[in-house]
Amino acid sequence: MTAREMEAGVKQAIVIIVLAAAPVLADDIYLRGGGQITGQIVEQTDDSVTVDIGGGTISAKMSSVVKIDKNNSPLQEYRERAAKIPAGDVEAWRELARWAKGYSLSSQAREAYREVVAVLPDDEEANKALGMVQVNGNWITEEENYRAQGYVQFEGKWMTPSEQQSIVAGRQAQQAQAEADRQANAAQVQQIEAQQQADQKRSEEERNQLDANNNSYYNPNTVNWGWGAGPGTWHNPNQQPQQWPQNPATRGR
Amino acid sequence: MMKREAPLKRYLKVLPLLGALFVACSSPAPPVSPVDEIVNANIAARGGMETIQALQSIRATGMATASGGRIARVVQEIKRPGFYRLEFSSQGTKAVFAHDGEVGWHVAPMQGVFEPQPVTPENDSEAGIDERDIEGPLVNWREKGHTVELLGRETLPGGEADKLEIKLADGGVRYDYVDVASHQVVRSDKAELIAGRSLLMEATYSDFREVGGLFFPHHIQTHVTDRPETITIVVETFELNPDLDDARFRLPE
Repeated sequence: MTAREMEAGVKQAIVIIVLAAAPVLADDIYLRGGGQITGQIVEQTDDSVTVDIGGGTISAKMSSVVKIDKNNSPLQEYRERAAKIPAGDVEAWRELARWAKGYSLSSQAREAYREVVAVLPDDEEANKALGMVQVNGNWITEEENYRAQGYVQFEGKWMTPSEQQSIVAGRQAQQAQAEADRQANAAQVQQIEAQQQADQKRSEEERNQLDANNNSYYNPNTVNWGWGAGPGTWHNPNQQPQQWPQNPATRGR
Repeated sequence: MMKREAPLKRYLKVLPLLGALFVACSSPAPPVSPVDEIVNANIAARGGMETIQALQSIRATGMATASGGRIARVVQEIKRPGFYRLEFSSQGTKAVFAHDGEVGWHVAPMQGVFEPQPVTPENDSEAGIDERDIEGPLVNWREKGHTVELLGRETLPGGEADKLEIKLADGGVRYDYVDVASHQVVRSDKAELIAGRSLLMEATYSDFREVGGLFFPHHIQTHVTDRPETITIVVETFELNPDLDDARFRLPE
């Protein structure tokens, strides 16, 4: 076991996104402060509970759990309803997709809308819900659209090439300044190096913390929320967990 | 026994007061600054000072959507004096981002935060002093320690708007665009320090509708300036003066 794995193992709570396992129970797991996990418990021990939330599984330490209520979760209902839809019944899939949206089940809404598009490739509602954009009569992905507009993807975020250049230039200038300072004042070299080492250690610890939590560097799950306080990351059902970077260097917001 | 004053002496004493009263009544009213004109018109368009100040608490409930088919149910609560709470439910999890006027905290299962803990700039957005102000920063801005300056008039997609620079008492700066025709704030830009870089977050407000004598935007779209990815919030209901326990906003012990 690597040091990193060991560190992750002692974290109080670990998020793991993996392929959904067979459901056992449907439950609401209440956390202190109002946090909640709703889905189907796939494993529960004295120490932790693992819940299938429909976009993977999420594990929490039992010490963080206030109570567990046994319920029929929307996810379970979705799966039951989806299993009964006859092949090619577009309107049934559309209705189910809308229902899943109402419960903010992004992955399930996406799955249902994909069934609609499989039969009706030009369906506007389904394409838009899947994040497609119509350009010159063709449906293309948001990424293709951004690229066509001249944006570049840098550290997981779409931006103008000039902003990317500005970021890179700023970092290079910082490095150059640090180097110049170091050379200009040899007497302070030792102090600067000690500071750099401390900064590097702190930065590494922060990266490890975020990595263990959500792999939130460099990935498109980071968001810039703009309505008061809000999330720094938001699970993107388009992204496959295995595509998330493992050892990023800086934050990608 | 009190000594009685001569009638003439009494009249002479009152004379200066009468003179001052005459001058006060005959002088023109002090000129209203362009900033005050814009702010007063905005307050009137929102429903008037009396109605705004009667508002003790508010709860907005809606849906947020973002690229990649991301969907979340959001419930935002604000209460005097300076309490803020956002519940963010997505894909079977509910996160809470709150502020009690002193400490911003969160519990966010998708980000691996299962225990309420203070927000740090490395993870999520914290509610600023303006976002926790149920009246908004323009109401009685002088008393709140903000400064407001008119920067000029700009043409936005919806028409012309006066751009106000608001230097907030907590050191933050935001730019409110007050629509010339409706007098509503149709856009707010706010500089946020993200990953060591100052980025300008733009929030655009539309679909203003009256609720209980006050006008609120029911459609909010946010994005970083010059970046294409957006978050859209559609508010379905505004509840005025709901009963909200202070404990909902405080970091649980």
